[in-house]
Amino acid sequence: MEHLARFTLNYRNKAVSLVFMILLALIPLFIANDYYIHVLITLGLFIILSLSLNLVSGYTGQLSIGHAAFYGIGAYVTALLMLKLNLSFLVAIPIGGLVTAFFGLLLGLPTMRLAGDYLAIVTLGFGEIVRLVLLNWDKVTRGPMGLPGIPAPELGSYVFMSKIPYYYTVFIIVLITVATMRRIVNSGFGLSLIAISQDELAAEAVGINTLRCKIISFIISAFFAGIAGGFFAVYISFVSPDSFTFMDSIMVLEMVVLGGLASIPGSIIGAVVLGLIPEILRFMAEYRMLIFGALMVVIVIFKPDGFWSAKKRMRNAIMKDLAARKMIDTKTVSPRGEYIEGA
Amino acid sequence: MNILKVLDIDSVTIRFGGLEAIRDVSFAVDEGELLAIIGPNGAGKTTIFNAMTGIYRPTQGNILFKGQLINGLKPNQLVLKGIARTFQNIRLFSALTVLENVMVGWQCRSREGLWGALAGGKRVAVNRVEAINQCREYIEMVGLADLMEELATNLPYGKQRLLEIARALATGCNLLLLDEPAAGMNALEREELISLIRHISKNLRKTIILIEHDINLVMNISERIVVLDHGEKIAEGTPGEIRTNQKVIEAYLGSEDPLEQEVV
Repeated sequence: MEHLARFTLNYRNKAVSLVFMILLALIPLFIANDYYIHVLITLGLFIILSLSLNLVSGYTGQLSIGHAAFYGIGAYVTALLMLKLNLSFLVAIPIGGLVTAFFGLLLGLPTMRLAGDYLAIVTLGFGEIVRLVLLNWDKVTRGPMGLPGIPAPELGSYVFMSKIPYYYTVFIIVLITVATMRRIVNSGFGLSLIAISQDELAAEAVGINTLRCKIISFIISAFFAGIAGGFFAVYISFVSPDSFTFMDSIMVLEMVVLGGLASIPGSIIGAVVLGLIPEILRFMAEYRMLIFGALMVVIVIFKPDGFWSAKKRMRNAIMKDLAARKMIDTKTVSPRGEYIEGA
Repeated sequence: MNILKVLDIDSVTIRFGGLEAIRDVSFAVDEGELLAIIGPNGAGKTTIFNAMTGIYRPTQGNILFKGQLINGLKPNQLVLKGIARTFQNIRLFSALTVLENVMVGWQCRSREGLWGALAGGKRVAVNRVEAINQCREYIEMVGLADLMEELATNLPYGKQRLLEIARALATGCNLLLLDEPAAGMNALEREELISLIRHISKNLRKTIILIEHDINLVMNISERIVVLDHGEKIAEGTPGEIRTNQKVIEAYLGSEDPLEQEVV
């Protein structure tokens, strides 16, 4: 009976998420308003950014406040590849992601010796350096003027004219990001990352190469942020240093923290809520950010662990997944070891 | 049988600035032996553990594991070589479950890696089944099978210590270092701990080095004892020899039968 219940629960969860995804996929059919579609696309971008930062800052526990730099590198690399080399967006965005991943490696290296506040300062510096390079490397980035005229994506003879194909593109990227992050965090490697965030010395003392794990987590995080940046460049068809500032890094970090550190649903909810608030408050014009700040304080007071706290994390997820596939029996053999005398 | 020295501490000195925490200490452990290190507080017991597990590097002298020099290797490299430990001040991954804590210990034996996790598939799943089943064996061995889904932080103190032992065993170590495993345990838990340590030593054939203040426990299970005081080795021998050793008696406050007092 218990098994039956578990399996039906498992299938019910799958059915619910399937229905949810179909609804999301059908949205453009019901909403013809360009503004709403634009907001949804922006939310998709925020979701990718917060999920990617969550791997480093949530799961691995390495505070990073320079995430917008990765977003910016991905955007500029993609933009340059499309403008100068006429590459298709299908090639340019992944290359942008890979180049950004390389910068993730570079930023991951100092984690060898730095942790906590000191690492945060380094990531802050990294973010500023990237922004200043974008601003001052006139020959390549055209400085504050930015790079306009990124061509609309083409798939064969189909050219992206309305916002709807962009919506589906970002939808697919979000799905890939969520699926990848889920696989990573629900694996032995994911457990190692959580172990590092909990007690780095203990993790090392049970054989985890903490340096390697931290660097890999930076690389993956940067890759997805770079992909988000690449999509952003293609979507807006213009990039300038203004889009990748310290405030943007903080915004993504707020999404991760308020959503719930080390939680995938948390990052998604955080991105959606914090992405929507400024849009909903648009009618208040310049008072908008004031209210936004006040709301943040209220959220922190009432939901200190975030909207979807890591405490809701499924326990023993790896074993339960195998149990659902009928590959492992979760029954325990004996509550006590046989060898204990007198037992 | 050919007796191999598993661990050889060869005139090791550890200095922190002007402070000499360990001065010219030498001892060795044979394959399968159960050795205890005792000594008053501040004698340098945990310091020498930290040197054996790569947390500190000896200022002078050599540490050999299975004949290989291991000075300066990192803790995770030493685990791969076969040395695992528990901590005096329990260091579990508090947000992870009992099973997951042990699985983190198993990671260094896992062939899955990041690519396996991303690719998934049948082979990865089979590996995971094997890993989980072995981890569950360790958990059952230490008597925590009915708490597999509990978060480590919710376990009572004594059970947390047992979980640390299971996590250390999951690394597949040959040499197990236990830093005050009985601290904070009640009498019944101590009894169970003693049979667990015997089981690990006799049936799993692990070499064990133990730091412990509970002299009864030490006298009860160890085959040989090394006594440290003020960073120096003052005695080494069987429990019987240590019990009557004059230097040891003096180190323990000079009272007539100090080892008995320590039990309280």
